[in-house]
Amino acid sequence: MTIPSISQEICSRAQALLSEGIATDATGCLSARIGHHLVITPEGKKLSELTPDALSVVDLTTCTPVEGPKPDSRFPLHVALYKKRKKLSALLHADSLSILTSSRAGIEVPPLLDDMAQIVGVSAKVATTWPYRGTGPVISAMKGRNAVLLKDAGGLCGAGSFEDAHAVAQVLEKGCKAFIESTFLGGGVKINRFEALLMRTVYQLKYAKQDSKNR
Amino acid sequence: MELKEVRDIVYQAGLNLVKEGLVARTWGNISVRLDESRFVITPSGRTYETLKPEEIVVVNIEDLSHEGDIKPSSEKGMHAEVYKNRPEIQAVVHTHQLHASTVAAARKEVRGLSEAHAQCLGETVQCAAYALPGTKKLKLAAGSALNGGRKAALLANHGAVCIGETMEEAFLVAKTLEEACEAFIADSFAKRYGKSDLSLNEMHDHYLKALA
Repeated sequence: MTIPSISQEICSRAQALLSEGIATDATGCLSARIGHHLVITPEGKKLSELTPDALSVVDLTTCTPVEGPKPDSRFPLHVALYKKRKKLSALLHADSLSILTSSRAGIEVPPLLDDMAQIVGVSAKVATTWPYRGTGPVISAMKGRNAVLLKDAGGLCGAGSFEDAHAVAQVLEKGCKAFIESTFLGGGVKINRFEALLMRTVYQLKYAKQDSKNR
Repeated sequence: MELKEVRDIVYQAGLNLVKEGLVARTWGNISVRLDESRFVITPSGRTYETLKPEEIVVVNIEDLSHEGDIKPSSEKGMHAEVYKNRPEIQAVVHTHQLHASTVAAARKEVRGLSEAHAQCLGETVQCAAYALPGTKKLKLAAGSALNGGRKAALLANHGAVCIGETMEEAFLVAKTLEEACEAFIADSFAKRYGKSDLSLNEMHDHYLKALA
């Protein structure tokens, strides 16, 4: 991957997120790790107006912008996550209906569906102090998971590729929807923690690799 | 039907289900009966968009053995159970559709269906008992929830299984189930909060107000 190719992917992925309603035009933000840098959407730029030659580049080691326009103000959080999680290569903010509602509710979303347990993690925690207490509580809330809810601000989803981060966002939306709307039906029934962990482990070790292996 | 023909049906159904938002990426699985002893099914963990018809796997209904090197879906047992129990059924789709999954998360039976929905689905749609994906327990639970000539069942904490005498019928069942589950959620909201005809946005706003 090069900075131009990853920039192209950020722009095309942003359009896909917009068309699915996973991200909103004005508040969306995507970034990718490339070597010792991250490429991130710029401050104040709508996702629909992104162009590959006008993204921001930030030095991961020093956490300083090095190229392009001013980066999205959330870049220190992305830098901190890339530094902490070596396997993370793509991050995206999602604020579709159910994710946003859950972030506003401020309640940890349990695994009510098996794909939530497999792809997001055993729950989606809420970083309730975001953004006032810095990046630490967000990193802590996302530990062992591929997503975290940011209080009142939607979710942050991450994975080893944009395709997988996009899938995390889709499943998080579905999991949040199930959690919220099952309350109308009397409440959802949680998958127990042991089985949720088992499903996640099997998914990560085996099933997630099948698309390339099972040919 | 010939092998090529049934593989093409499964391949096209995959693309159609993705287009309708009933499955995505590698989730869910689709099969068609090939003959009395075999069916064809989507491979394990493959995205529908990159799948080729010739990669769709032939599986034996009785012993679940498969032909070729490509592994069939881990839910092959559930499909086989349907073909064993229901000789008239020619197509099975296992979806992870949104509204049906929400009802499945609450492990509720879908009741109070409209006349149009009931014509396609029956009077109610049962929710199969919870079981881990790919297990014998799940296939038996799904088979049981489809008893009584039903064409759809919810799978607790997992998704839905929809069946038909043709792929077109199974597809229609899946779409109708999604509509029926959406209506069931809205009706349940109305009964609980005394407010009807609200959009999903409004229901979510109400949920937040109720928490405050």
